[in-house]
Amino acid sequence: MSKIIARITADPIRFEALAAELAVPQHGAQALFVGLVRDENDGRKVAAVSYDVHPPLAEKTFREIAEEALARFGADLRVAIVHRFGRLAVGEASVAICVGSAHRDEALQACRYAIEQIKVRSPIWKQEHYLDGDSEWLAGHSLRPHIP
Amino acid sequence: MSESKGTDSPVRVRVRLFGALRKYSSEPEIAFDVPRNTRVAALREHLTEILKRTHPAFDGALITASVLADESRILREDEEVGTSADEASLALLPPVCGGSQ
Repeated sequence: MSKIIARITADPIRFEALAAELAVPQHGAQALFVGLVRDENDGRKVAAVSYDVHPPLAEKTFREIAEEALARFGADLRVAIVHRFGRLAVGEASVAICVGSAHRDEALQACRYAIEQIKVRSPIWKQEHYLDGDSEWLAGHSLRPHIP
Repeated sequence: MSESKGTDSPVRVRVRLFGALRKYSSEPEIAFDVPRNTRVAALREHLTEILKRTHPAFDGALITASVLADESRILREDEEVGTSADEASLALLPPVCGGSQ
């Protein structure tokens, strides 16, 4: 009954459709986390963010993270991880994680686990575009072992 | 990947750059030849030299913190390229920051 959706897309994320893909009668809970482009970072006004992605590796990483969530929080979980690429304006959703489970606790925990792992393991990079016209790639987490 | 021509022929390595590394190349990928069975760690050094040559202010620390990957996985530092083919198509992945703030 478990299910994993791991997807990189250029299109806006349709949350209800994503939840519908996961829904089964045995599940009484769905947790949805949505990450949005914010209008400020480190004191600078942000106009947009460009997301650069290595699609095959990112989707593989999403699948691994979802499998770990199943192992940790319940073998019957249904997990969807969707991340956009390209230039997104303030307010647009960059990432959505939806987890369906029999009860709420597993869904909420799995959702939290997935977003924290995505941030440090997925081959995705952010370039912020500021209102003053400047742009900057954000620092991140090295994928090399033993390098923070 | 192409079939190997022989143990003495060089390997053509193509490396795509991502994230903050993109600004250091006007081309979608950097291509160069290396001896067969060159290790990933040596490729990293080679890439640092190339980028420092084209961009004298290039900060080598960015490559030190990056990994080389193929289409399905991150490569170990002691792996060799070109063991079974004359070309290797790789990606250089700097530190990541997906998700949201």
